Amino acid sequence: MDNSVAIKVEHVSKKFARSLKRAMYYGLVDIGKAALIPHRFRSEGLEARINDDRSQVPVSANTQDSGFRSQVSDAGLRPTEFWALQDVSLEVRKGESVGLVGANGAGKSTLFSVLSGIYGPTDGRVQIRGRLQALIALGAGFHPTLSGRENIYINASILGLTTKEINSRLEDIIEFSGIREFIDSPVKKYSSGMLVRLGFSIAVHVDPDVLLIDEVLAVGDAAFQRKCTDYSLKLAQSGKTIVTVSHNHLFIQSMCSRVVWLDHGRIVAEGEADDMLRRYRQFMAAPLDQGRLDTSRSGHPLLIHDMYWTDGAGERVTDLPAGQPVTLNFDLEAFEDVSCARVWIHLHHLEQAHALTGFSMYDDGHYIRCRKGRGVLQIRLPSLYLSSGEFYRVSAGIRDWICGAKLADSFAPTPFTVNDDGIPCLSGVGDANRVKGSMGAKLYIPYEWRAAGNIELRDDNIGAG
Amino acid sequence: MKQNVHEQVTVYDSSGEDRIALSAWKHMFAEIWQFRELINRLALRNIAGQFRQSFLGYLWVALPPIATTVVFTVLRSANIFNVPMEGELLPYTLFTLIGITIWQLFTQFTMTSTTSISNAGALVSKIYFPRETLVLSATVSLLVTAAVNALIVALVFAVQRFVPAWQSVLFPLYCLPIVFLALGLSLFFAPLNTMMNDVSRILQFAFQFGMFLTPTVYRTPKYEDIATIWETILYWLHTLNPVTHVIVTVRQLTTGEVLLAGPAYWISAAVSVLVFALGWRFFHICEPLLAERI
Repeated sequence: MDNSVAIKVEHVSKKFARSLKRAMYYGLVDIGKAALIPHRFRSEGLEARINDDRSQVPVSANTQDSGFRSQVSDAGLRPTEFWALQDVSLEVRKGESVGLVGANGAGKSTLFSVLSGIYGPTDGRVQIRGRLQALIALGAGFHPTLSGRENIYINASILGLTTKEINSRLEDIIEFSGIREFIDSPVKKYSSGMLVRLGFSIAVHVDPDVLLIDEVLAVGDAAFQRKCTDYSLKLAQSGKTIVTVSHNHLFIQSMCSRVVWLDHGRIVAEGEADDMLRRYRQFMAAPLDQGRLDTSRSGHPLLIHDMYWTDGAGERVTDLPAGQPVTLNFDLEAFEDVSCARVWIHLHHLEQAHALTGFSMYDDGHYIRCRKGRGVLQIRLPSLYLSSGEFYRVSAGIRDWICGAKLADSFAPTPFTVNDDGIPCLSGVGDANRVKGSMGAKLYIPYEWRAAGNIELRDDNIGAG
Repeated sequence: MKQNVHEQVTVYDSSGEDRIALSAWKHMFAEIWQFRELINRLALRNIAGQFRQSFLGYLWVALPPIATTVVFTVLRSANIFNVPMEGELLPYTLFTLIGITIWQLFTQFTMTSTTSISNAGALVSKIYFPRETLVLSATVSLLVTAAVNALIVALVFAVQRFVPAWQSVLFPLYCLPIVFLALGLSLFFAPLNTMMNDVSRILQFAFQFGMFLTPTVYRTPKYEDIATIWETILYWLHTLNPVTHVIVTVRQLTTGEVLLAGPAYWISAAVSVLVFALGWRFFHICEPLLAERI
């Protein structure tokens, strides 16, 4: 293996059984075969394939897109078995930070487990250079009645430290965990947050060459989360090799230079982080489209046939211009007269549950009256203050003013994007394209810089020119 | 970034050949040596954690053999059953106590080590470390239990005013085959138990009855005296059981009948070591398959 490569995954596949009883049976069969038939694991052609790869011209790491491979092989699967990973090949160079993205069940955790040696691959080969540490099972092996201090020794030993190493790092571990005053109480008296603090603190002090970071960072209080995130960033910057799994794209974006996108156990694509994340989000947005035009009447007096955006010129758009006037249109049908109904609208970022903002007739005192038949309701926004390059969705509902009863099924149309083509250069200097959502922000608010006195405002484009 | 010339390259592949090849033995010993600290650490954890939240603590270790011995002594004294003891130099209480203690230690060693993997649960499914360490540390931690038990037996000897022969200091050595046998069995059963916990239940069941099919509370019929088919069956059940020979030898040590045990003992000791070697090998081969089945 090339010296500069930290992780090399070659054609790794891993299968699991869905049924517990089957898994028991297969486990026995596998063990029996392993013990009685030498080389039963040997998969035909693996060596050949690996050698084949070597003879190929190396593909550049940039946006190497293998796409969905069409061959979905059921060969070698017994009943109820499925491939959790299938023919995954991946290389991580030393000092590189790679993010794994993919829907739940895409195989991210399985890949982590194979990388850390917990599961042997069904097929293929993994090579790791240096000490690898997975931040996935924080506090594994903690004994509830033993003290925090005793458990540091146990946990750190399991993670591969010698007693001497633990002794020298003990103080740092306790300090970093921030629970010094409880360190001699039994860990079963710890809150779950304290357990995670201690576990994380031990794990990062193992000082591995290669780190696998799972979404453990999403626990603990805000202060500790920040501490962990900062620490991870520091590790990434200090030249550690890091592979991270997270649904927090901001975290991945700030940490990883390269992103690998997994789906159904296969690598869909890999490439430069920003680009991959964008494509991944685009992909994740797609399934929401389906079934949205279910215009069958469901017993409510009103029906939202369609909901769509139009721009200033009245053209239907799904890519909305930031900073420009836009209109959200409701195509409504009333099956009976409705005397007073109120409409609410929520605007969400695609990946977030809570709304960015909302427009509600409950708040502004309006209501609508509908006679039997069809009509259009519009809400016009004089300027769209959303960052470009992100995905958004709206949801809306109509309720009776008096009793609050639902008058129409809520409606979730296609997610939309925002572009920054129309953003005016407010300050006269600067590049409008750079007004897009920086640092993952979702809200775009027009602004301009001003300077006075000894401070002069300049623009690097002009400065460079 | 610091460049380490000796950076170790770890390989996980599907062939598993390195586990099956004969050279794996070297690797197995090296692994145990490399992880000796972890084994000790885990053993200490078991020992320290075991009785921390109990008043009687290690007395719980002593209680089962004593209680069983008392029951059998009382039953025999009350003539509920008859155990021929002619020519036996040990009083029945001590005779039974030694038998029961050794048998219960053997079953405890086997049970604890067998369930050590499945009990570790999340530890095994979340972190990689050689799984042997769990089984071995369970065994190591039980050595403390064994020592406490030995102390209790010595105490009962004192109470009974029976002075054991000087040879009895050798008993720890003569008990070693038990440890190997228990380890071998657990290394074999532990992987199976991760898949189906029937294994530990079956063992529990087998050990319960096994006690009566081992010369714990009575003696093996003498070969010359065998009169019935049942005695023949019992004779062979005893003789083929390696634990029998350890129990018999330890009893003979205390009475000074032997210094060097007979061939039967050594054969059974060799069998125990062989069971250990095979079990360890089996365990090593199926180690990569353990985590996903837990």
